[in-house]
Amino acid sequence: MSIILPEPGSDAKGAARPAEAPIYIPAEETPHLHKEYKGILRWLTTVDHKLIGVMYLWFAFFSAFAGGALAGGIRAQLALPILTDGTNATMGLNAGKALLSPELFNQFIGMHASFMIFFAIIPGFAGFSNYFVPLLIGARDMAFPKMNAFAFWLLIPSALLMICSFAFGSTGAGWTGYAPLSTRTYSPNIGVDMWIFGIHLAGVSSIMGAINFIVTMSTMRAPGMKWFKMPLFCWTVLIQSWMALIGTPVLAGVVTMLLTDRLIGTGFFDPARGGDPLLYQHLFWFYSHPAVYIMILPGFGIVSHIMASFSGKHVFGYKGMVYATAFIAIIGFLVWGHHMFSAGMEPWLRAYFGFMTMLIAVPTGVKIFSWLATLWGGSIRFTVPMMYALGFIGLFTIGGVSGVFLANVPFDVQVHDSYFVVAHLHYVLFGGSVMTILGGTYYWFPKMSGRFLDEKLGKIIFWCIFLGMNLTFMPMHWIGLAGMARRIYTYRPEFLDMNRLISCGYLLMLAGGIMLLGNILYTLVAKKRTAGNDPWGVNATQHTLDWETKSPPAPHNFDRLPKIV
Amino acid sequence: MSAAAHEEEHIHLPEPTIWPFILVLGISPLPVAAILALRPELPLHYLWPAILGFGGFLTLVGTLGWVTMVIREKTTIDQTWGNNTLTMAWKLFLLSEAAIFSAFFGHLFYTMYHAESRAILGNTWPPIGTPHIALSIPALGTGVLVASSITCELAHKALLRGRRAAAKNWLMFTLILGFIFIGMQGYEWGHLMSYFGFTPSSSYVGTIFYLITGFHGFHVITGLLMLFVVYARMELGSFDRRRHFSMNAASWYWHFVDVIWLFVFFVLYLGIQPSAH
Repeated sequence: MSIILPEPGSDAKGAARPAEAPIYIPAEETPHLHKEYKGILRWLTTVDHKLIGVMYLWFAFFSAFAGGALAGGIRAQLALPILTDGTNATMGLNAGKALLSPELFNQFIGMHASFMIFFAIIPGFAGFSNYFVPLLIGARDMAFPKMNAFAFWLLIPSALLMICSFAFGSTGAGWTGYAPLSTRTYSPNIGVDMWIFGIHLAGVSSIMGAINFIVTMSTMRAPGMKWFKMPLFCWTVLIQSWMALIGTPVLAGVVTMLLTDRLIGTGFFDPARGGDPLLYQHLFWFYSHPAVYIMILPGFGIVSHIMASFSGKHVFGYKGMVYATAFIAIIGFLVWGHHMFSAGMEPWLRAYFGFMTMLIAVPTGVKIFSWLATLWGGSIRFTVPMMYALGFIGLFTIGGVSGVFLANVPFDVQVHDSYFVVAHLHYVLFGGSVMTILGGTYYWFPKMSGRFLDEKLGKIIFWCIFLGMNLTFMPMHWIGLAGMARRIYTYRPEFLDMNRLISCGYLLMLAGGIMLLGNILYTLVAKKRTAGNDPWGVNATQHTLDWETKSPPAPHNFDRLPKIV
Repeated sequence: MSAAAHEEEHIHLPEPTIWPFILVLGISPLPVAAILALRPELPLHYLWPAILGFGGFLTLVGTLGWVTMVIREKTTIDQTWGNNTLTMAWKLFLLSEAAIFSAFFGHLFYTMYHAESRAILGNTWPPIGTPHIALSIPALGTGVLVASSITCELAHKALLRGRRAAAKNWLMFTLILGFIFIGMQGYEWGHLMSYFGFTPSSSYVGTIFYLITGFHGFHVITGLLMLFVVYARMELGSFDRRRHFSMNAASWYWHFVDVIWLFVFFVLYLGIQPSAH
């Protein structure tokens, strides 16, 4: 694929432009095309997909720190517990009492998950999608810029509702909110009500975003950009949007039923009136399993871009990647029952869900091998984003393989609700989603800000996070197999050493996160804009439109809409 | 090429606007008001009307500001190209609405399927103790809604042929039929509640019956509001043959509500008839 950018006065059939040639007039000569406010009003009133994308990313970053602080509470409690045999392992910190009460510990668990899922990972990807989908398809903005801003702002009250619910006894029923634990009988506080409304607002935001992306990519691709010329990141966002569009309303529906049960006195999940708590799980996981893919697919896209860029090649098997992503999305809607193997289900249904779950390993394998084939024979540059992408492949494969373990019904019944499951999901969500978000941050930071993040410090941060991540989550496999239960504030004495080791791993990750925040702030304040159109020097092989504009791009992205041939 | 060349002459970037932010400011207090209103035991329960009023007011301001801005844009910039994207977005929105209904119907199907193993339902479907809901009113309602779908389509067709007066008349018929439907639904609810004591909290059937019919009724009212806005805009002379997205959108929404009702009637109402099995 090559890109032709029509020059002023030329006929539109100009020759392919050499990658290093500047195409844009300098900023001061850019015609003033639209009104813009200054200061805080500029952010409150913006409909520019780039500014909205940046706000999503900052929002996700701070939510990740909030969720990380909750994880810190969990780790502190588990490093300094009162053990089940009564041993006081708090090292004298809290006069013989546990740091967190059992109820508070459960609230920390529920809010940690809710924050990381709804306000860190999903908005993190939404940030990149907002910023880069219009750039990559050669559009000036999203199809519905105002709705785009609206969808972002909705996340703020949503997050506020959830975080404020701590003051009113927030949900101790976990992020899954299983009935009957989340019904009014067992969770009488208004925390669960606030949590449900928080989900509603985040859900509306997510549905609006999904509609916007689907329409944008369907109607606003640059002339000549056929569907199968669209970069992989756009494909993954498109497929993710379809999943969010179909799945999120079901979540909204099921939490609405929970809400009417709590506030109006209906009996959807009340067995005494013929309702069924198990049905809550079915409907909840019908959304929340696809949500797993909603939280990883754009990451696949980012990794594909990074891998190809720093191998100096095209991504291997472009169409295969697209089909594999679509296949994952379709199967992803048919496997929710594997979260409920131990909850009670007909044997044939278990066999079906187990088989379908293992089937997902096939398209996922297609993707992993395509990335490996992309590396094969390439001239690999070990930049920081590339290190995150390579780290992602290793970690995500571990998470994928333990996922195949868990798809086996007999094995799953054994390790259900143990730390093995916690280890698996963090290898997928941290080793998968978060690694790709961090990789994407380093990869696209020069484009978004015009400045480079420090490579040397970036490598130190990478190793902190990579090693810390493994130190935290790898031992969870072992203590899970040995029988340590999740979501409980205490445990048997033999797990004490391992839990303290895990908490050390958390501190290492925290150090990495703080250094990253510091580095980003320092770079934004103190460094000069030095990045050119193609800061990594990759566009001679990549031919993607994000590297064809200034860094950062002008409000209108492209002075002339590119034409793809 | 022509698209690119056209684009070069003038680049339209959407103007910055505060309305989305204001609208979110207005929506934010609404959940708080809802929780306070439905939880009389809370200390600040009495504040809910004030919070609801404040949020509702800001929501209204935000919505009106947004709509005014869109209409102004439409009159200053030729945005017929945008109808394409709006049409697509509207279809996707209806798809997501269908997904919400499918969650409710999924609940109903699952419970019907498992009824025979559930002692609390009397091991049968419909469960023991379900009142006999007469089919006369909902059957009549089905006829009314289907008829209103037809009149709505006739209004659309008339508009396409440029016959505005006829379009307005057909639209008025549609509105009247919609109001008749809502009236019948309200009568039926009142009858069931007062005569049978059949409420959302009385049994599983009550729960699912009132949720599905209530959620559907809410959509009927929303659809009526849309049709009303379309009627008002026709009165103001806003549409022409080429540009009448609101008419399209409202009529699709109306057909959607109609189709959902067919499911409600044939699955829910017929499903809880004593003679159904």
